[in-house]
Amino acid sequence: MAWLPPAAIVVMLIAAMTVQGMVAMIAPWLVLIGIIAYLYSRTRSLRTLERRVVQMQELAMLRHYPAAMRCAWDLMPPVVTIASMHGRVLAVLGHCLDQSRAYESAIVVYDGLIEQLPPRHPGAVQLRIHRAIAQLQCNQLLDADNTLRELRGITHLIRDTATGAALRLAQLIQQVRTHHFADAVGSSQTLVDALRPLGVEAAYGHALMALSFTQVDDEGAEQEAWRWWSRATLLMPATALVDRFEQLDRLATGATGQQGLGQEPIA
Amino acid sequence: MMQASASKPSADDGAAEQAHARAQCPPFRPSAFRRQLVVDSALWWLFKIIMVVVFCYALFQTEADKQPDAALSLIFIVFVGFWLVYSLISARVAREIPHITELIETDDDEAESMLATALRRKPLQYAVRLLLYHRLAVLRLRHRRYDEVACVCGELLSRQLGAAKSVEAHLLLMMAESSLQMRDHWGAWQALARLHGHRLNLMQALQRLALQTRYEVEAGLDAAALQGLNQKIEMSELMPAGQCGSMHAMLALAAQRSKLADQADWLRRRAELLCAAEQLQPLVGAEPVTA
Repeated sequence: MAWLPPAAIVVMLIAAMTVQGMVAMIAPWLVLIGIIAYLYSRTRSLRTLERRVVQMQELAMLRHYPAAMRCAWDLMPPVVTIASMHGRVLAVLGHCLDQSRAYESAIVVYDGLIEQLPPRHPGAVQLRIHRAIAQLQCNQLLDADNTLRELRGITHLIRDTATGAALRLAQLIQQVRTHHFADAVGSSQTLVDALRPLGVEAAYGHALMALSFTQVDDEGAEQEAWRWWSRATLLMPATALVDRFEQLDRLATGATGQQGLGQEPIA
Repeated sequence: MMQASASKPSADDGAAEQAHARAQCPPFRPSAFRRQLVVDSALWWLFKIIMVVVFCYALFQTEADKQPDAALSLIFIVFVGFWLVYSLISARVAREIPHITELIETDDDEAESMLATALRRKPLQYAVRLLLYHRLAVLRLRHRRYDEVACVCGELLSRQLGAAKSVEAHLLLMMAESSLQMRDHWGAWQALARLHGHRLNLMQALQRLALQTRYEVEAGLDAAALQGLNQKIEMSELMPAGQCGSMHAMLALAAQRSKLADQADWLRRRAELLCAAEQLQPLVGAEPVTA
């Protein structure tokens, strides 16, 4: 459709040069006015859509997931022909479904998005990590394992980035899900630095490390567990941690009995 | 023989250097920027004058009853021809702007080369030229050339932005940041004060919060920095990890100076989890937040 306005102008130019009479005089101007009106209305509608997409992303950032999903659903038909906006809407939809624990639906959305991107695209790598985490959460352990194996080859490229930190978290979740607690504990020395780019979401990793320490028989493991749990709850309330990983419930319940541990008070 | 073989590579080197020099944007000079705007404007006026002349000619032809149809067709052809030439140059450059924005994140040199080429084109529509200079300011912020950023932003903000008004808030954020980096607290305050009159999106509101907190802590306004602390912490959690850690470290400093030991300790422990030790220098060499 983009070639229509210039084509109309060319036709009218030819007509203006060749055809004589009143119609030939007025018609080009009418066409020109029509083209300007069409371009103006198209730009306005694109701007409106862009504003709505930004609002939807902001709702997702503020963790208003049901409202963000409603917006994404409404936006889907008008943006389906605009590739960049369509991708953004799908990404938000996938994230909201993931955060709302609708993991299987989120995996479908992630699959759709991954297919649209080249395999080594930074966005595709990030999406594959999110998909692996969602697969781990709904016990699709084999699929998650395959994804994480494929991503091992690019670990050096994403070191010290949020994507690298997300991969480290995914590997930790896998170790916990598959009861490889000793392996998880073995990598605890580097965990704080590795998860730092995740911001407050690093709390999930700290909490899972605490859980891993409770599952091993090493000397001082219990003390280490509470140290990691204390770090986790310093960044995020215990309720939010349990909401995402139900297996942390036992730790959260236990922590309330420990003096000075459990949920850290906000300043 | 030796001389000949030595001179050839040097000529190649010279050509390569020249090509490289062509790809660089020259340091920003307000006088050159204003000259470009004058040239754009002059060419636009020339178009208008030609249109008036053609219109008068057509009227004369119609009055004389020679060839009224041909005269009106001539107006249309001249109008469309000039309009297409004028718009197509600007449209081509405007279409490159999103690509330049992407390149600023991934390939500085290529972005600079494209900006240099685009800025040389003329005539450009006023808004398109302002948008190009906005991207130049973003690029210079990534290069940490704060004096140039402040100069570009100041020059753009002193004008009516017209159709480029959507970047005004971002210009003010960059102005505030570069002023803070240069320890120009008066300039930072002016930019932040102007920002409070704008409706900002979430990302811009987060950037303003980070800059304002930094300004308040640097200026010793600890009570203002700690006002609405819980809300500020919730907002900071939406920022990237490094910036979130810096916010915590700045607030910890304000709490410490306000003799709020518990709050300072809580904030510092969170900052240590969010930022590496070397990043915990919030008031010196902080990462650009508005790039």
